[in-house]
Amino acid sequence: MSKSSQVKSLQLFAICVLSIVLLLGCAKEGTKAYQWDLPEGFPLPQVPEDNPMTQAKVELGRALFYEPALSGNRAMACGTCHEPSKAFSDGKVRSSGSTGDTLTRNSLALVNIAYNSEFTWAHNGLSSIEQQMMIPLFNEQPVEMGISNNLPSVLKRFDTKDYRTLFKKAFGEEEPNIDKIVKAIASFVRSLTSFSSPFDDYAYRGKDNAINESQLRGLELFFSERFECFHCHGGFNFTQSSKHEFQPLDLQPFHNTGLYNEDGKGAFPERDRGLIDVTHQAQDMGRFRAPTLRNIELSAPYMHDGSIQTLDEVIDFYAAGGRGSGIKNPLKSQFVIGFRMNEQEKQDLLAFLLSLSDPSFGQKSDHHAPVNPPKVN
Amino acid sequence: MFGYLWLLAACSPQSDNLAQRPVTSTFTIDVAPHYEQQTIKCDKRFVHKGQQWHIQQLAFFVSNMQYKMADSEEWQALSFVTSPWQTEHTALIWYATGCDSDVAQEAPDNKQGNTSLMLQSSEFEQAQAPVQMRFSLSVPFEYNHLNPLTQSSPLNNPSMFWSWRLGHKFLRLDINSKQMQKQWSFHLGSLGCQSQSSLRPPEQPCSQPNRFEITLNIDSQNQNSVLNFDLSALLENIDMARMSPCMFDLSEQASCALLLDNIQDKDIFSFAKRYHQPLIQVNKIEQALH
Repeated sequence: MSKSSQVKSLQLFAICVLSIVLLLGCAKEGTKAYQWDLPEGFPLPQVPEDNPMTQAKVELGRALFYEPALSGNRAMACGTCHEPSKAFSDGKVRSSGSTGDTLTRNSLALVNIAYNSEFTWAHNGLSSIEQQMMIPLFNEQPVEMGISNNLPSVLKRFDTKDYRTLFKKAFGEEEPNIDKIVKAIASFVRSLTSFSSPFDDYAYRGKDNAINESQLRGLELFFSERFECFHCHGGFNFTQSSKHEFQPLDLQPFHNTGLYNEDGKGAFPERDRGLIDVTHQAQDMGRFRAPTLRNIELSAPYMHDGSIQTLDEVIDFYAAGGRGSGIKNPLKSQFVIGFRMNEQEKQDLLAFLLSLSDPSFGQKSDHHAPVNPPKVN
Repeated sequence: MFGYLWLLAACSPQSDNLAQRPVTSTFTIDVAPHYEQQTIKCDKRFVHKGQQWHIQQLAFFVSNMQYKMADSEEWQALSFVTSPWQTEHTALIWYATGCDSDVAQEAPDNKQGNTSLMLQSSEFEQAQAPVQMRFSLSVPFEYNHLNPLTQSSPLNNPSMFWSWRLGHKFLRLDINSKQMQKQWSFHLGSLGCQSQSSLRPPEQPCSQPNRFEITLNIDSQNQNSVLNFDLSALLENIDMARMSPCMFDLSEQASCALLLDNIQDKDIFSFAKRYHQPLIQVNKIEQALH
């Protein structure tokens, strides 16, 4: 290559670099890529192609998540049933909707659900948070957020200068609509990651002293064939239903844990029979998704109907292989067979479950409601 | 598949002499579970010692696949085409999730299963018909105990993973009998692995690796075959109604010993015709130059 050719090549290279810098500088705020708060080496969650994560969408979603004006009668926000201090659950046996309806299920914690391959306690047809959100927003029996008959008036509440600015940043358009609202809230919920528990330090950061002797003994019990916990609460999220950039398979595990057996043939109470209500397949009676155990100490009461109050009682429940007549539920998972344990083992398992708590999760300011929320009409 | 082949071609240096490049063949081997001579399908039960059983899950890993020609004593390695079900060295066969359904279902759909091995070789296609194939019913030790979070699919599938210490379940069979209201499982994997805790990998091979090398003859007169998996051979002398499951708990040693003997001694795998199904070739799909 001649010297003049080299100079031309360098000039071309410089122009390219300058163009890229200028393009980056001109990028809209709304397109600024979201920086995931993940430990080194952790896989990225899968994000829907039509709703890429941006910082602007997460910020808009955060404001909407805590805004009571999003419910039909302004009585509740998403954050009413999903409080940061309770790992984004609500501490109630079963939640209440905006009009006072009692819901059929216990409020699920929102921890690392960016990785979920299934959503809600028992549904195999929801592939994204965006799809799942339509249930609480529009459900009529029971009413949750109660938007379905109030959509125009709800949208008008967000036609303010503050929200128009946020929508513009997030989507390039000021006009609020339900699609943008859903995508923004889904982005915020997707941002709720938690990987700073003592267990994470031990397992993924190699810190041998991150958990104490009792927790270590409990860990061994948790992963043992005798206790069987890990068969359903497997994987890095302690629920087998996880997907991420290295795990695209959707294998949908649901489990019957022997909570009920109304007719001796495995029936669960009519008010909530689990996956069968979606699939209408007999074998899905009483099957529910194993929820994550991360931050589990914060999300009492437990099980899909909140029918067990404490972790201590949950351990007793699994040690007994179910509850009451549910122990002989013919559809019960083969991994819920019960086990004998002494008091020390029980305390060790409990200590291990507490090591799954990430103290920083509920304290992050960007997980909480904005101090100065945007104004609504 | 075609995208992958296109990628190989696109990455080839332009100055290569195409005529001198080795030929890479990509082909699939269907895996067909059966009980005696009955193909196991989702709408079929199998009867073992007079009791009807449904498969809830049957899955196993295959690795280190090799073949041998009639005129050679050397084993030639085959590699897997990477996909969500296969790394280059290890494949996961995943059959019949949800096969305890009451609704007739011809076969598990793609979302729920994988019943074929997709392989490639730069020499297999050019060679004469192989007379033997062999593989390991396992995940190789060097990959078995790694952090599953940073491994690629299918080695990050939590339902096939015990722990860093024990590694993966090489084979997982979960079945149930509605007749007896009983569930039964066999989970195969390495035992006797020493490490600081369940979440630390062993530095030395486990004392009972439980890796079974399967060597199969191929009938040169009948290449139209599938890799059969005979559940009746695996369960021979096992009375699930009375014997404990085998997930390698101490109380389950009797059934575990019998099952391990069966894998060792019985013809659980074979290259043979597909029972009660049209014969399907060890399918050559495509060739690519690289």
